[in-house]
Amino acid sequence: MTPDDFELMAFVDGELDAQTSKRVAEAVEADPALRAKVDALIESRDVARAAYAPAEDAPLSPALKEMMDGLQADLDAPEPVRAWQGVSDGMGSGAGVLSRTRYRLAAMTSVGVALGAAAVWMLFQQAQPQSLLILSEAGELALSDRAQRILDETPSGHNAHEFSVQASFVSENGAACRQFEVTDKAGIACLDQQDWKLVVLTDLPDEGLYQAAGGTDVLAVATAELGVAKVLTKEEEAARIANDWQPRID
Amino acid sequence: MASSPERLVREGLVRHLPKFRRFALSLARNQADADDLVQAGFERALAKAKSYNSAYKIETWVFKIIQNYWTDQMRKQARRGTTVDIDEAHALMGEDGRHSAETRDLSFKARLAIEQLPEDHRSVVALVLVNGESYKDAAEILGVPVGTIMSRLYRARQTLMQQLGNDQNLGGQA
Repeated sequence: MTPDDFELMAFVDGELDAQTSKRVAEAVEADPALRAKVDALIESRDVARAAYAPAEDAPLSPALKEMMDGLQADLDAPEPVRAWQGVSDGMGSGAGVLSRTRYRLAAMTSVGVALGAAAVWMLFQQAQPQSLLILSEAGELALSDRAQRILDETPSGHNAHEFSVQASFVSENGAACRQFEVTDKAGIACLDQQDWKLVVLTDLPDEGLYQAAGGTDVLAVATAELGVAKVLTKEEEAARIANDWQPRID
Repeated sequence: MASSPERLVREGLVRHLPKFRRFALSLARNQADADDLVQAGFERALAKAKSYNSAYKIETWVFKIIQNYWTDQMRKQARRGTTVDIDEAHALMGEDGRHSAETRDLSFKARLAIEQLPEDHRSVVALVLVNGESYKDAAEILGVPVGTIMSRLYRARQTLMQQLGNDQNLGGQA
């Protein structure tokens, strides 16, 4: 079935589920007219974004600057370390895994599991002394105990210091996986036995800057390659958190 | 103990300030009015911070406050014409080291084209294309169904590309 204009637009904007996105991608690949339409849709997004990029550099008005300085001063005041409790229903329908427009599947490339060594090293350095990543004697990167705890305990939609969890899902091979952001990076970790294994870690796009559509959407590609068998609802996620992420039937 | 709603709101305002400024700029069309709009929106957000439910994305909540405030203001005063501050126009065209001359020119034309869109189309462009919000969140912010968001967005894209002289591929049936 040939995708219609709205479906093509949703494809470009990362609004389709993995299965539909794959079907549309195949149709686009096979039809130059569809490809041209997709290119135009991508261009319309990119020029709109680029049009407002220079505004990033505009200085704040004095009144707004004063207000932001006041807010920052409030935030800089010490606050007790939080311990997450309760259940978040911030996931809504649980569409966070694939519908986020920043991770578009418009240009599917076979990137596979990707780790930007320089980016990871910077994260490793920045996070000292409470590192989120550890380097094994074998030279492999892994999530630290602290990161493991955060992934164990933090509901989607919440922040735990600089670490925020975006969504939880079950991959096609049955592993529980969590999508997260930390400082200016985003990644996915999946549970293997008792440990969260880092699947992918990549730079977040700079806000407001021109982004070329293309093979940089490693998170989306990694998600597609893992396969999303099921996005966990807030209740399912809460149950897993309460059960220490032990395997269970949702 | 989890952070209070007030603190979550403050964190959200600081963290997502660039997004809110871009959105406000797309509505107000010049940076000075946009910053006034952001400030007014933030004041309202802080005033009602206790009622913020952390189950919802802070950006969505604040976008909605800014949009509602703007709509109220527009009801109170006659619509203004399309304006771009001369300083801003200069900045758009100036050397910023990020874009080629061709891209700068294209960005300037795109900005003017977006500013001439009907307001309901402009809001959708600002939320989805410029700020990367999902259709669902844009629908929530603007209080319309997702189908309406898609319809407005497609038409806005057609108009935008038409203004940029590249609409031959988006002239479909949508």
